[in-house]
Amino acid sequence: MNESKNEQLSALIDGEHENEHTLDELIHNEDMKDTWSRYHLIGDCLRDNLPEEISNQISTQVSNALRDEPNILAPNITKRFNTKPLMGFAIAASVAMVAVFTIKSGNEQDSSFKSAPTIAATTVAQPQTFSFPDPQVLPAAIKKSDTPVSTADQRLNNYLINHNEYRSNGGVNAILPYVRIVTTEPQK
Amino acid sequence: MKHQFLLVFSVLLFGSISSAYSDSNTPDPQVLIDEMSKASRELNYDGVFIYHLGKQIDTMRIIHKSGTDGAYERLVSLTGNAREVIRDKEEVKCFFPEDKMVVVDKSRLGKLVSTYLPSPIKSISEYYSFELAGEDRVAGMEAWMVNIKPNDKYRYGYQLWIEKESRLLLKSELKNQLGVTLEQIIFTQLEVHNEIDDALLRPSMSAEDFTWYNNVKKVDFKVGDKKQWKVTWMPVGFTMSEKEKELMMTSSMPVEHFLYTDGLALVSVYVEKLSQKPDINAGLSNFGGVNAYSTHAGGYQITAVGEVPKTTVTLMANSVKSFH
Repeated sequence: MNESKNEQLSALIDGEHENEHTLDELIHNEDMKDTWSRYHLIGDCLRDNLPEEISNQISTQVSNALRDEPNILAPNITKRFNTKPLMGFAIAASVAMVAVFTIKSGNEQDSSFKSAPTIAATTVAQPQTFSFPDPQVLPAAIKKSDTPVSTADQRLNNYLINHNEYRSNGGVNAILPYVRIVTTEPQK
Repeated sequence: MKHQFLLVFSVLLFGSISSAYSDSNTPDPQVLIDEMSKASRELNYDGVFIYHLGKQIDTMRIIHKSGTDGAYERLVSLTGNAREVIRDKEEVKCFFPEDKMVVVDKSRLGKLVSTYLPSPIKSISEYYSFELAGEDRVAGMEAWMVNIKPNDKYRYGYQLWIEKESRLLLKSELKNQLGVTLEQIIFTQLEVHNEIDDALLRPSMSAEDFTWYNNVKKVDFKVGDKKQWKVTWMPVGFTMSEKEKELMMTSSMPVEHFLYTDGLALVSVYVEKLSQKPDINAGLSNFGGVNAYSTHAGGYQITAVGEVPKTTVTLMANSVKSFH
């Protein structure tokens, strides 16, 4: 990372720099995130402000928590994931459009249900105790849709059911394919 | 001289004993996986496990019965909707009580993945590293931990917990190349039985008033499509193990299905002729460890689906070419 970026970071930490671009870059650049953490650590150290335990995963956990937030608080985070979740796959049989709808709205409920401060507070207070790596499926990425489920979606679901049957013939994870069919999104 | 001989002899003897001893205590990871696969097919068992995907956690029960006339299996969701999947050697029936619906499909239970393989499991070690990662306790039982790490970025890895005695799977984590867990299964209870009561394998719902969708119907292939398709790129080690025409509920014509495997990962490539008004779901889709990528060319939709990274499905789908 170059000098000017370090300066920008430094300014950002000191609250002298209000550039959205730098913030944006910080969110997406692992190097910058590391530097950012180090600067803070140095600052805390100088001010004799160090906690008893230091977790180097706090930023990851906070960003994981932020990911659970309604879109307003993490407006750009979904950009990184160009993958749309196969909500239809969970209900696999998926011949029923109703089912797909249920699951979509279920997801929205789920993402808005978790209120921001609670999650952030819990995560920061107990950084090491409970941390599941988040998979790339983001409820926030599920778009609200008023259109009926397209034949394209159904076609994909059929491919998945079909692929499943080949997958479930023993081997490493024979149960998993059907687990994906049986699994249900959390109820409202 | 005699002394030396004795020494050599005793070293050899001791050496062989100790290696035999260590063999029985620290099994070969690949052998363990083979044994696990065999145990999961051949034993009678009844267990409860947790399925964890992202923020979603479900509990399920699996009942498996092996028999001379094939295996029977029932999977029941204990949380959320009371969905069930019941399989025997002929059919797989998926019950969706929330929609009053049953989907019946052709079963491939009992047809082993190893029969798809061009060569025995050993060849997999060219594309994955197997290691015995340690010991752990799951569902109150002692387990061996086995890591299966992919040697390139085109495959996913696994961490498996295999019960020491029965060799049944107690826990499984599907991992991407960074080691991030995408999906996991953890048994909380697992019992091996001599007999399984047939009543345990019947659906808990009557399903009489349900709508039944049967995909097992015979297919009439007279609407032949002359076009030949070929997947021109796949990760090293993948070979085509099957080529079929599948009948899908959403398709007017049978869909071309190519199945590729490296012995562990399985990728399906589907080629389907689209109707006049194409409705295409192009791009990437994802559910836990499964990725799918769709693209279209000349009135056909090409889709790759598999438990492999996004890169792999994308590259494979884009490599499909047609021949006349």
